[in-house]
Amino acid sequence: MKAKFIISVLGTALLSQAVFAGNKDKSDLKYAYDHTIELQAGVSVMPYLYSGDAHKTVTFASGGDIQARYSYFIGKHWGIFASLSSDLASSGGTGYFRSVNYADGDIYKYSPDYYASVLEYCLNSAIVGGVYRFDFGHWSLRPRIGIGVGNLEVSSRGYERFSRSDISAYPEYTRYALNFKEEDFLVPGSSYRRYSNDLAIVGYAGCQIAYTFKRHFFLSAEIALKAVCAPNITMTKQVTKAVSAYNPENWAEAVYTYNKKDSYCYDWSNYTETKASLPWAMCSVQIGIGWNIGWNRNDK
Amino acid sequence: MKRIAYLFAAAVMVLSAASCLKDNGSVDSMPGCSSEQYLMTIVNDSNVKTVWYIAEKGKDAANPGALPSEKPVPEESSMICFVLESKSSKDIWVNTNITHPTQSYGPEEKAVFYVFEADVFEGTVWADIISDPSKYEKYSLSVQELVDAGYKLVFKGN
Repeated sequence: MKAKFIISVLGTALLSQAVFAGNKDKSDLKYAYDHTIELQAGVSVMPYLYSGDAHKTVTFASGGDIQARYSYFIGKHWGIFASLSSDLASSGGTGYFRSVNYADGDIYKYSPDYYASVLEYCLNSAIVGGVYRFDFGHWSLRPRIGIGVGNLEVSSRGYERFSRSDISAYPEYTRYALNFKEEDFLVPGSSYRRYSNDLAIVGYAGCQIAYTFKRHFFLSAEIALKAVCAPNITMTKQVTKAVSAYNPENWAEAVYTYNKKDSYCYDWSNYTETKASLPWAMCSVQIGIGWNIGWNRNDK
Repeated sequence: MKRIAYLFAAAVMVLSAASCLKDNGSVDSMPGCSSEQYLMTIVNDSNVKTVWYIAEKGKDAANPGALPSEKPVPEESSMICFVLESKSSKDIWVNTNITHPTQSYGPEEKAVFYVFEADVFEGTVWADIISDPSKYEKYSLSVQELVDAGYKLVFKGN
């Protein structure tokens, strides 16, 4: 929320400066340096498809991202860039379970529903692409497009689902796993984190606006969209039903385990597995700082 | 404008740091298990010294596999024994690694307990004692009955 506020304030300030600067200084390509390096950070949103028992619905993971980028401008307008970025977004809490409840037909309750991150996605990507530079006074507008590869990391924490109509029924446990292997052991309630072994293809399009204060220092803001294609990376949703934890073999055991009479446990030797959707896109709003390096073509 | 620049730079740094923060989660610890388990408490509420026998199912050579409740009294060697002074009690623990008589019963069956007043053993033999039902008290307990009784079996005296 604070990040959004900061972005709003700075965005307004930058836009108003753009109007005044445009009126005062019409010189084209004032800071036409050939190299720039920059660091940006911001907020990001990743939509993904959730498949429930009754419906499919689009839900969102939200978080932050950070990006380091180097650009080289071949001429006064055209340039190329290479960037490294990390986008982190999580899904959980009331909003997530509202979507899950709708998709499951509004007949269950979920526990615990307070996890801030049932699912947490981290996309680390390396992107190369092209950039076009419009300079007007201190301001510079830089649309960019690129393509690269990404490494996807998913952290998941499972939850229980109880029937609202039959309160005596044992619950189900749902968890998510990236590239799950049979030998993996997941303790219910624990967090589970896995990297993808295969790389995803990442497409990028963004529009950056920069304001140069001094000859070499500039501030920037950017709206970007990343599309993720990961055909070889599998995400699975695993569901198992609880079984009674009270299964005494004899009289004595029945006595000293009697406190487990109504308890249940999960037997992960028997579960159903379905394919789950991964985020296919990521939208972000970033702000950052950067430096112009090299010589200004307009000084020649 | 320079002030805005500094604020802007600070905001970027804060956001950068926040982006790097992640919750690593934790794996729940698994509780340990003890081989000793509390079973029940036997209580001698009488004014005499008593001998308690817990019978094992199916150890009687004359009638193997039969429930003790189907016969008068099983062989003495097929039972374990506790001696309780008057107005005393004893907690019974089961070592899950060692066979206990109550482990011979199914979860839905009734375990059988015999309580003798100690003086019935004086000047006589086992066969004579068991032939006279007035010389002992016999209890057949289901798991639910024991739990409902607060895990206690109380002998109040003949």
